[in-house]
Amino acid sequence: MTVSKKVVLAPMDPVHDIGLKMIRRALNEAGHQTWLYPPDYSAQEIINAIIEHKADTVLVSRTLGYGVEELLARFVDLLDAAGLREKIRVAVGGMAIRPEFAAELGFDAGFGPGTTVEEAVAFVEGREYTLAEYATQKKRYDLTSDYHYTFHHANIKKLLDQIAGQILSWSQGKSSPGIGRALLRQAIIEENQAGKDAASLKKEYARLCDEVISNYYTKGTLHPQTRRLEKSELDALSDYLKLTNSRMRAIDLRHTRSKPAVFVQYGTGCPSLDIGHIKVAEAWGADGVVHFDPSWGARTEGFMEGYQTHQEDGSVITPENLQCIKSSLLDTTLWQVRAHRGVNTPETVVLAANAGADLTKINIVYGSLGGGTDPERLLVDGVQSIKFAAGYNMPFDVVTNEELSGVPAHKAFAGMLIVANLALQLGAQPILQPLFCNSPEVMINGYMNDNYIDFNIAKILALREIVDAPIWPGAPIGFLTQTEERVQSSVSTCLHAALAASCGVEAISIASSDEAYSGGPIAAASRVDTLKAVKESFRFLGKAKIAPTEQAAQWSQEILSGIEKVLAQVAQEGDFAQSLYKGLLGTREDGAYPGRAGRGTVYKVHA
Amino acid sequence: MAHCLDSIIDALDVETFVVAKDENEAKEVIKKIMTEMGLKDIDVVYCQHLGPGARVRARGYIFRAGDKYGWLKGADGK
Amino acid sequence: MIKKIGIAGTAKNTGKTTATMSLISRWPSPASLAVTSIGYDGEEIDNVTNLPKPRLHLTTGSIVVTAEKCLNAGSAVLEKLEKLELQVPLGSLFICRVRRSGLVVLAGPNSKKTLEQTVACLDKYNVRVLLVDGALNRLAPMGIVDGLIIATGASRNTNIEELAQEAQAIEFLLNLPQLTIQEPALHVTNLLIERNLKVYSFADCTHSFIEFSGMVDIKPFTRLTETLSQCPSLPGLVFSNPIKLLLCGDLLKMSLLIRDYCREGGNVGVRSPLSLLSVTINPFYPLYNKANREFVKSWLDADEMWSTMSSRLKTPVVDVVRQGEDALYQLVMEAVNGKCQN
Repeated sequence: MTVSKKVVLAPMDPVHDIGLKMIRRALNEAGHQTWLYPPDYSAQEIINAIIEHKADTVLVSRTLGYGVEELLARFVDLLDAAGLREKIRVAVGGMAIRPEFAAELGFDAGFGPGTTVEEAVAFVEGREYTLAEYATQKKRYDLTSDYHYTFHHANIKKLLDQIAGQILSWSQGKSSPGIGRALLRQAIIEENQAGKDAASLKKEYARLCDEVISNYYTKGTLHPQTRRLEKSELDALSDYLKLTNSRMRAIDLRHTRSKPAVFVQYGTGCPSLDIGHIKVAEAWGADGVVHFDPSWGARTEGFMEGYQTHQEDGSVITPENLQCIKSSLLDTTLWQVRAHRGVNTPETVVLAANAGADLTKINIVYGSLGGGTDPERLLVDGVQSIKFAAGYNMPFDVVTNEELSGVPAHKAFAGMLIVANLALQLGAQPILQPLFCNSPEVMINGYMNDNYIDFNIAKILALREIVDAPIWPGAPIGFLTQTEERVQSSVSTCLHAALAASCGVEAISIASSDEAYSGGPIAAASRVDTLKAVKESFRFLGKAKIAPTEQAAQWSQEILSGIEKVLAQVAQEGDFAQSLYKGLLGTREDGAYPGRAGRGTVYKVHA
Repeated sequence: MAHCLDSIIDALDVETFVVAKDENEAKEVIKKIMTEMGLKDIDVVYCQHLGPGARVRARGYIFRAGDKYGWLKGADGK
Repeated sequence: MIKKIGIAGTAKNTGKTTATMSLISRWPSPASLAVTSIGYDGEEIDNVTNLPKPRLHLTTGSIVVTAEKCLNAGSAVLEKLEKLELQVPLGSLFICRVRRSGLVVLAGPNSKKTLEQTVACLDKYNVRVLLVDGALNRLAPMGIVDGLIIATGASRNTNIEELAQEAQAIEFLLNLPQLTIQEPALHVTNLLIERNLKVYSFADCTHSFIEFSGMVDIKPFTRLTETLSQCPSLPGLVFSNPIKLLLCGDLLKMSLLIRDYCREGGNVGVRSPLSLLSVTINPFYPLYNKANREFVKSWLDADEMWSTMSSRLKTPVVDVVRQGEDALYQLVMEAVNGKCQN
């Protein structure tokens, strides 16, 4: 319990007294006595008021400009000459005020833009308000803890359990080079932790890789698209991080709601530039960042090691690259490493967990039908990946990106629910990731001819009618609505963010304003644009809700019955891999093509 | 260069992110960049510094109201 | 006893730091010198005008008092000798010795009381002189110094005549005599606004002296002198230190009122005097260029400024840049060697 303080608040500025009024309200709520004076009070009058009220704190606000410093300095001088300086604490706030100003002007503290009301209250109460205290105020999100994964739709649950049973019995006794490498990687990590070099394990690992990767282990050559980061680059990065982290203070994007957490995806190709972007994203309020790997990484068997960079979309996964990125993150930042689609899925989960990732991403169906990986292979690898994720207690999202190829939402959702229910059977924590997008299905059927709201809400309503599970629309929200123009792009992103917030979802992934630009990597400024826009949209929405038309409920029922129908067909088929090949979860006409990477690599093992 | 700039109706904006220790440093850097780009009548429209640096919009006015506008000249440049 | 020499300015950019620097660089024995600032000294670029500012270069052996966040901000290597129980916005204050010469960023005690406490702590380090660099137009902490240098110039006022009149007023107020009160006096704390006058019964004042311990603003003081002139005999007026008079809000009017009061037979003085050692002048000023909305460096005529000021003041006038380091140093040394009144 803090002692009640007597606080004089004086705006020495005709317009800028809003900040002081807000602080006054907070101080009054905290039980302090306050006196707010009009902006035209002179320094002498303010000091006289301090004497009359026997105040112990005075807060003045003033926008800096030429001559204003002298005015503020004189105020402090008068306090000193009046014999009050030692008895009261005095702070100045306003645009452009920094601690150096406060020092020069003789104040006890200076509050610049971005100062919170809490910070000012802490000053009044004489509590030290450190950056660390500020950082801990920002919530570190737990996306799954509020959910019980209770199914509300008995028939769908029955069908999903039937399919899960098929998958588990089918995958029993099967393995792949991807699983072999993942197990070896676990063993290598253990040996390394015990201080051994794991040379013989790495030899064995190399035998399970494509040539371009095995060459790294046997000849020391790199993938032709990558180069090693030099020691000087890494040292410079470490210095940069130290300096930047000393200035970091995480801001909260949300206004009065506690959800959703906001994720951004990085993947410039270079860990250093990724870190540059991550720090920008964190500074502007991102709650989580998603590691985006290069597309060749999904098709090439095996991972290299070391600090590696390249000039293509997506950053190379190596143990060192992941650790380097992890070391740059604020404690409050959630980190997801995507594993979902390729022939390295199980090992990605192992590496992610060991590097300290909070989340991963696995979807057998999307990876098989839209991600280019052979269905059988990804089914075997996916089951093992989910087991790893369960073992590491690392939640993962199940994304439905096949919608972008043209697969209708109900089929994509059926696939997502199959993987999610399989995960539940294996003790894992899945997060549903429907898209908020203007997908080919939507365009063809005109679902968004009137608005972008109804169909997206219909998806959420349908999923909620089936199961009580966390929902994280992505990735990114507003996909295929954004153009290269930054204002349009940011507006579209932030309106979709408001829609997601209105739906009460757990998290969202947002684009940068460069989302639709495909000529090169995203620029940092474009990340700031959408984060600022999203913050503003949360501010705009508050606790209010976006109301859909009656169309949403109708579409939601259509999606629901579509899902049920697809699941019945899959259950009927009896062999999940065959269901994928046969197009039950997306046909070639829909735009779904069973992938070929890793075809014929699944082999039988004897227990 | 002067001829190309004549096509700009009023101002050239540069939108970027500057790594800097504070807002002042970011403003200095962007002003220098604009000057080095040959722009004369420059201003920093917007600058917000957080953590690693500042999101900046710098502006170089090519023509202000009342100037003789390059884009009002005839096709032969007169 | 450490001699405290303050360098205060009438405004920003009047040459405080240049004056401080000239004393530091001329100082023959660094170990006998301590330096601090009541503000924040050492930024490369002025916060408001964006023009370069001089920085303080200190040599090995000298002592500085500065805040925690400034310790590694300059190029000099500082050895912490003592952490003071004093806080400023840039952290706790430390007494440090310069271990390797270089630029130092100073942010020291920023009030009269904390400056006093700092001086007390410096006692054990065999320091002979403490230079206290001012900040902006701030004066109040200078109330405890033995000798004061006032820096003024074009940045305060580009009209040389008005600048000289103001300097005369400052000189007059700082040179008010020391008065020791024997008889019971009427004690007055602060006269900030006219309403404060009602607290005291000045109209029928029978005390021989009125002693002011706090701040006296020009408006209530004007009314006070009018009231007192009705009294049968004018009471003497004693201010705690002359710095407080400089903060009254109108130096010219204050000096005129006091002159008139004395002429009518009143006695006016201070309890703790301090010596005005020199008035330094700086013809430089930042001129605001409306066209590109920037400040540009500008100068008044230095000769004219020096001759006008010198002809009006009894105190030595020094243009540090033109006259070199020696002029100011000699004045300070005379003071240190005994001319200071305290």
